[in-house]
This record gives sequence, structure tokens and C-alpha cells, in this order.
Amino acid sequence: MKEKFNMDNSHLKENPFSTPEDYFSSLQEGISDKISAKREKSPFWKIARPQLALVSTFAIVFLIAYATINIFSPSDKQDSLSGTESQAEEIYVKTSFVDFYDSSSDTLYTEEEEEIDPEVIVEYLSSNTGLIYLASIE
Amino acid sequence: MSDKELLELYREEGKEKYAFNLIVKAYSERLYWHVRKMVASHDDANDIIQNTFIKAWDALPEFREESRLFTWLYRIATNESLTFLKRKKTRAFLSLTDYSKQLENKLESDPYFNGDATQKALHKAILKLPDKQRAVFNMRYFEEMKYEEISEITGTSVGALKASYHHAFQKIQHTMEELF
Repeated sequence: MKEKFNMDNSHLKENPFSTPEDYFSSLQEGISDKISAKREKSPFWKIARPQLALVSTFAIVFLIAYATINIFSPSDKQDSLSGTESQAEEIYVKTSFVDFYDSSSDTLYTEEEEEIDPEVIVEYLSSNTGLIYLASIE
Repeated sequence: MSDKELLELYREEGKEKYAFNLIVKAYSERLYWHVRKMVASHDDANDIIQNTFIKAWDALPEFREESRLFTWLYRIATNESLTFLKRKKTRAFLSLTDYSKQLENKLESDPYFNGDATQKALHKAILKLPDKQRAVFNMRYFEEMKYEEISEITGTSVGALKASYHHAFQKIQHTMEELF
């Protein structure tokens, strides 16, 4: 019968691995250097991190509040009302614009009123102006 | 210097870096061997151990001494090793290769392995264990840690650890019996 392998043999528990020469002292120096590099960077973050956290908190609160207002305010009704109002306003502006530049509406007299009998004019003028002026017209 | 004294020194104004260098000096070697047995390669172990201490430096201000400094550092190193192995396995899976075979090859070609044939066979068998089981086996078999300490490091119950170690031990013994 095959003998059981002795796992308790102290030789097996010995460390068979090794490292390059002076590895552990260079490892300690390497870690120390990396930490020094981190320490140089850290003061900015120590100051900036709480500030950034505060700013982002305010931004989040603002966004939540803005979203809540947008969702729960009766915006649909207002929209329909303002829609009607704006439509009316648009029509008004358009008509008044057209009216203002419309040549026929721009005149102060109608066409009928423009066709005045010259005799009537002369009569009117003669009752209001001097004779010399009347003679120059004729 | 004890852990408590190191931590007191670390909390003194302006002595953080000095105290941390002492912590690195006290634990880097032990942690390195723990990681090295997990990943086999010196280069990988070097990367992991550096990341371990950088993370420890970042997290040390929040360390509340609920666990011992030694246990805490071991936990970071173990987690870093497991994360590293998981990442490597995912990459190996995507490139359709077997990562445990890669680990074996690393051990085979490692210029910093000075063991004899039996030791090489033992470490190859250990590299075939699942990662977490390997961590438990190494801590118990080589470092002779108490189950309570391993439990603190891994966050696993003592009962589960005993079962895990027993399975790993049986597998390794079986492999070694087949070879020798």
C-alpha cells in the first residue's frame, strides 16, 4: 500500500520564493515616494472637495425643485389660455398692420366724397376767401 | 514598536508620513510573501503590494481600530490579490486561455523560485485551488494563523474556514500522493 504523503514535513513549509536584491528597501522607498506625490496633490482636493460637494448639492436641490414645479404646476390650462390670447393678439396685429398700410383705408375721404362738384368748391371758397385770390384761381 | 504606538505616532501633527513609513517597514515583507504565494509572479506581487499600501495610506485616517492594524492590512492585501486574479481570469476567459495554467507556467519560468521539485509540485498544486480557498490555505498552512485571525481578515465564519481548509488540504495531499 502506498504511504500517505506527509504534508506536515517542515521542508514543505519553507519559503521557496526569493526577490531581486535589496527589493524590500526599494519597495519601501517606492511607496514613500508615491505617498509624497499624493500628499502634494491632496491640499487642493482637501479644500475643493467640500466646496464641490456643496455646489453639487445645491444644483441637485435646484433641479429637483425645478422639475417638481414643472411637473405639478397646471401648465396645460395656462398654455391653452395663453394660446387663445396669443392667437387673438396675432390676428389683431395682423389686421391693424394691414389696415394701417392699406391705401384705401389710409385716406380720410371716401371715393364718393372725393368727387365734389367744382362749383360747390368755388362757392365754398368764395364765401371764405378774398376776391384777389379767387381771380388767380380762375 | 507596537501597532498602537504606530497609530498614536501617525495621529501626531506632522508625523503621518514618518509613522506610515514605519508601518510599511513593519509589514511590507510579510504582506509581500502572502501576496506572492497568491499570484506566483514577483512583478505582479510587487504591483499588488504597492497598491495595497497606497490604499492603506488613503484609508488610514478613517481607520477606527475596530480591528488590528495587522489584520486590516492583510484584508486590503488579500482583497487586492483577489481583485487582481479576478481581472486576469476575465481577460484570460475572453482570450480563451486558462489562467491557472498561466500561473503554473509563471511558476515554472520564475527566476526567483529556488525550491526543489517537491516544493515546486506543492506550489503548483496550491495554484490550482480556487482563489479564496488558496488564500485560506496559505494563511493557515504556511503562516500558521489562527482561524479567528483568518476570519477577521476574510470576514468568513470560523466553521466555513475550517471546512475550506480541510477540502484544500485533502486536494493538495491527493495531488502530492499521485506525484510522489
